[in-house]
Amino acid sequence: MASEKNTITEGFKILIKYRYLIWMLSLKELKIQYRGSYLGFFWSLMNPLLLLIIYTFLFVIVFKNPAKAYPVYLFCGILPFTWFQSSILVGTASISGGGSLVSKSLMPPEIIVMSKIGANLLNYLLSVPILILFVYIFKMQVGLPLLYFPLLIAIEFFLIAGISLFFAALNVFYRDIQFIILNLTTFLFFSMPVMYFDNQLPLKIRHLIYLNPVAYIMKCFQDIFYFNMFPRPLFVLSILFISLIFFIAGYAYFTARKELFSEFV
Amino acid sequence: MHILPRERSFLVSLFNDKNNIQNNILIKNPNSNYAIEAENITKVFKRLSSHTTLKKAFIDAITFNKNKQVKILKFTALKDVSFKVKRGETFGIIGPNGAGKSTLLKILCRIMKPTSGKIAVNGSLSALLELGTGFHPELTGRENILINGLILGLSKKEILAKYDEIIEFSGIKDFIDEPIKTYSSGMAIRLSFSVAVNVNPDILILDEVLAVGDAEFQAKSKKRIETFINSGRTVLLVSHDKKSILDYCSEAMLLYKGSVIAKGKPDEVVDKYEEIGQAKII
Repeated sequence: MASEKNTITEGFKILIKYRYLIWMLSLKELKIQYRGSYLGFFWSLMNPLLLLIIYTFLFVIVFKNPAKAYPVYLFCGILPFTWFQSSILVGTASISGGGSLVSKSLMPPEIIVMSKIGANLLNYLLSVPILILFVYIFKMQVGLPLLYFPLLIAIEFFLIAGISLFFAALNVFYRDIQFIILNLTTFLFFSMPVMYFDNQLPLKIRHLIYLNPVAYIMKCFQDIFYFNMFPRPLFVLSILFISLIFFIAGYAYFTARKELFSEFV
Repeated sequence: MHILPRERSFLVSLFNDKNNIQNNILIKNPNSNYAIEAENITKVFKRLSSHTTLKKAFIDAITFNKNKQVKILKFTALKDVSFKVKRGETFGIIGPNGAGKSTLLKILCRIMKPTSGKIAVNGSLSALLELGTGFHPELTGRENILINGLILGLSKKEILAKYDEIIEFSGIKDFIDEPIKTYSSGMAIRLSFSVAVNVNPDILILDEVLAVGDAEFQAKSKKRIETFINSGRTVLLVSHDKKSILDYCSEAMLLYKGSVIAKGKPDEVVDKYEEIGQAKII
């Protein structure tokens, strides 16, 4: 147990020591993504904007969805879920595809996984202004509940990091994992009240849905941006606790297998 | 479809790596006279035979037949390798391709775990196992210097302080804000070398990265490495080239097929190395 504790504090030390490198590598991902395009980072704003316009046309004009400002509701959940999904997808394959960065460098490999999550976080944060713009276009309000936003980002970050580190380590030995993840996250998406409202679910399973930590995080984002109300503090704290457990477990597994990576990459 | 891991059962393999690899005990003793101490390092690579399929693995898992279809092939890359490197010494490891030099270095850097044996590294350690790790062709020379330097373990401050020096040393000032995909391969490798010579550890491990660039650049980098060696730091130099061993090292070791054949003065070790080379030709 003592050694277990040791690896965790050591892990945090590594992340703090290399925080600037993680930030630079995250930025590098975005730079590479947009290098050579005329609009550059602006595409991170354009993509959600165009998508929101399409959804507005589809759900307001074509399907005539009766829910108030349905596109805003949809986007509150889709944006953080995209961060969740693409981070895990890219993160899982990042160690097995890391090449000499894993096998010939003294840099701790978790930096690679973290930078992929960071890059997707930047993409998400860039799309938030578009979301807020649409909140006002639909004549709604965002206000003080926004104070919870940084905390929610931290909670989701720990959850994503824990899951990504675990699967990234596993994927080095079993390359099948990355294909399973794709289907798993798609299933996860439809199991949560992101496209639909939770009161559309039968009472029996409505509470079951929120046993899934990701679903609860999405609900908190909807509370902030759509319902303009504070998420329940007790629930937020418990979800923070669960995320930290995910993070510590995932990171501990990753650390235990770290020195085997170079043989398989 | 190939199954990569050595273990057959998924569940067993989840948390079990202690059966295959003995934990190497890493002792840090700052008062020791030695910078690196390696005792009986053995590394056995295991892999599954190349015709391994999921079907065969499944049959193995459900039958108790002793004649398994999935065969584990073993390859001994290092056999009982022991050596000590004194503080401030430049220690050379020479050997033909495939002798196990790079494996040994990876073990010393803790990138890889030995199958058995002990290592002690007393002091901060940095390694240049490859030049230009993390270089991305789309980024400019300037951006790549920063990222590559951080990966090598330099701090942001150190890099910012040495930016001009690095650019000056590389000799590609005019192209530094161009993406390095526009560079010639010689230019890219000069840039990566210029970043690498700025690492500042107690112990430096070099893997055949000395001879890069044209004659002029080589002379410049030779001087740079000599100052590094003369500043009292420990250097572990690995090469298949006898010249760099004779030029820099005060102590050397010959590695051949995973075993230590000779240890001692560089010229004696190099003689032995040439003997092996000639014996092979005959």
